[in-house]
Amino acid sequence: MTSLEVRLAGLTLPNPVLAASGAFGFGREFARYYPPSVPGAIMVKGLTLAPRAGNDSPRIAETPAGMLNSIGLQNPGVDAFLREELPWLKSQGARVIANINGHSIAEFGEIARRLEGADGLSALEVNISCPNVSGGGMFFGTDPRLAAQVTEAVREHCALPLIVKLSPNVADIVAIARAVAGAGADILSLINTVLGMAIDIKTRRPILARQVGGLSGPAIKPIALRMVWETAQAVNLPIIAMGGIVSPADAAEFFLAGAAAVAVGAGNFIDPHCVPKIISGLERWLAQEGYSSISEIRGLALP
Amino acid sequence: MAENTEGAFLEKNQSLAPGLYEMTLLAPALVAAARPGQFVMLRLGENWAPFLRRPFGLAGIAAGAGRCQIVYRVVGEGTAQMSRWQAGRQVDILGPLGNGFTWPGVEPGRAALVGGGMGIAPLLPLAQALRQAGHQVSAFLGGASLDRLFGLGQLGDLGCRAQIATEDGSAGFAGLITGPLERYLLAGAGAGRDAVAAPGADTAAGTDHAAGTDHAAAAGPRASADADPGGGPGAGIGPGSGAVDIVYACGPMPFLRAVTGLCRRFRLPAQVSLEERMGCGLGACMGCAVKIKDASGTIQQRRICYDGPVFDGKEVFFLDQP
Ligand SMILES: Cc1cc2nc3c(=O)[nH]c(=O)nc-3n(C[C@H](O)[C@H](O)[C@H](O)COP(=O)(O)OP(=O)(O)OC[C@H]3O[C@@H](n4cnc5c(N)ncnc54)[C@H](O)[C@@H]3O)c2cc1C
Ligand SMILES: Cc1cc2nc3c(=O)[nH]c(=O)nc-3n(C[C@H](O)[C@H](O)[C@H](O)COP(=O)(O)O)c2cc1C
Ligand code: FES
Repeated sequence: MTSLEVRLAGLTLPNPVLAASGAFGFGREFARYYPPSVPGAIMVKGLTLAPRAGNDSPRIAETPAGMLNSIGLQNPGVDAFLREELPWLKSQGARVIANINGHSIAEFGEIARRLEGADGLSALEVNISCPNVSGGGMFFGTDPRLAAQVTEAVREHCALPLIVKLSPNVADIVAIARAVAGAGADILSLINTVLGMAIDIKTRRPILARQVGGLSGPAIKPIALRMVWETAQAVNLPIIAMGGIVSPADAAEFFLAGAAAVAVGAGNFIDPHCVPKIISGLERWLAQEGYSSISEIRGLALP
Repeated sequence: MAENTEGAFLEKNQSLAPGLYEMTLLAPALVAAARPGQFVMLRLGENWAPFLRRPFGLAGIAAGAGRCQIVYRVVGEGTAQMSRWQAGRQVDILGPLGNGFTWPGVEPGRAALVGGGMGIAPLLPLAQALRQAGHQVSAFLGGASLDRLFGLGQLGDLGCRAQIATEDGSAGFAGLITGPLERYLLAGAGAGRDAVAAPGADTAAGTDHAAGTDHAAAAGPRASADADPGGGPGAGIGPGSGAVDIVYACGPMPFLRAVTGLCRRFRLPAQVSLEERMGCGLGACMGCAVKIKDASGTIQQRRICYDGPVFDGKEVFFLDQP
């Protein structure tokens, strides 16, 4: 019998296909297609201490095999999440991972403190890699020392598995991965979006109101795959891989590169059934190839 | 919200004018759930070329037959691909999405439908639904030139009176459709309901309703009117310009700004349908945000695809609006 169950540090999930943060809202919008309990876990939209209105529009630009976004962390704030979203997700049987975003190290700590002990939360994902906000955001994810300090600040209030989400917009992702591993991270998430831009030749102006944004979708898959493969060799923490995954075969590549689980972002936009299709496709592929679990294929492509 | 993800069958894909096409799709479950003002997301090419789905308003909803129409203009790679589709293919379609227009089912009222360019599309099934509910419908259609306009025959068959405007003067009023709309509202304000009971003309001839009005009158067109025009077409007679009880509008942002400006002046309720670039069309990505000013005056970001695309005209916050 093939089992899709995976264990990442203290986190046990019935399957290894998660919904990536920012691409799945708080799960409600996809509930008309399938129950929120279907993904291995739901990584909710990035939360901040206070509600955020996000950036001006346009916030989306299509690019070859992908898209740019500059949403700017529009979200109702951590308290509203605890009040209005988390209880519903729990009632639906979803496993919920809170994606958290601070302007300062202290603010990361404060958000973690408010989430401490929340009923229905499975893990925290610390986003030190958002390219779409000024102050904080990616800034913390590009300096190993700051990345470690954020991780420590959250660790102090976090008894749950602690995931740190890394930015691809760095010269050496392994250095950042090592720093956060040393500071108490249990799991790594990678990658966030790749900084990019698009220009409208008719208006001669950038398409995004904020000029630059984060690239996601199949266009970034080779970058993500390389970074997962490098990190898996250097750091002994489970990796949740994301970046351009839209099919079971994409997911399989990431497991072979060393990932313990995968997450789907922009793939949800082109096919709302993307996550369940990857889950069933993976199960079929594993059985066909004679494997009984994900762990049997994990890292087979590593040196 | 009923939701359909089954494929649709492309029955027809025909050119209406250079660069303008109409697609007829057989999609019974989707059509049965659809309301005027809702939209669909179409998936186009293979191998993510293009990557994102494309949003289109429903330009025709035939519930009994299980058919719907999309009228689209070729503006880029995605719509160019669509224009090459042959009848007989399966189309990957999501919908119906968004909230759609609303109207009360009771007392007949008088609605003005104001469409700019491709914004005409969602007004066509709305006109049909309003007529079926017994409402009186006047349509005001504007575009760059005559071959950019569509739906006139359909509106005529429904018994709607239509006025048109073209920016190049190729037909109807030469200029923006807000010109004829303003005159119509002013004429109604001056002469009351009777003035518009006269048979309307099919084209800009209708603008002669404006005779005898001037700008001074515009300053306070309904200084003597009282009832709050909040309730839609069924809200009864009296509010507004005297010619119209409610305005429905769809078109580009500057056009909607002008139309909602007129509605404010004439104290008419308006429902406007907005457009923005969309990531998902499902409410999940926050990509299609628009600023909405709620009753308390607070400006909030709302999702066009999920909270809209139809919003109360009073609530839409235009950046250059006072
Ligand atoms: C709710 C809604 C309803 C619409 N209804 C209609 C309709 O009935 N008929 C019609 O012809 N068009 C309609 N549009 C506009 C239509 O979606 C665009 O013309 C189309 O997406 C252009 O695709 P393209 O690949 O040809 O153009 P490109 O410019 O190559 O597209 C590039 C990207 O920009 C987006 N985009 C470009 N123009 C627009 C636009 N005006 N609005 C939103 N996104 C855009 C595309 O979706 C795509 O993601 C509607 C848009 C929205 C949001
Ligand atoms: C519209 C959009 C919004 C996103 N918002 C967030 C966010 O709030 N927090 C976060 O950590 N990542 C966010 N991401 C990044 C994704 O979670 C993911 O890391 C990235 O998009 C790569 O995966 P993909 O190629 O499958 O989309 C967002 C991505 C998209 C497309
Ligand atoms: S397009 Fe994704 S939320 Fe509206």
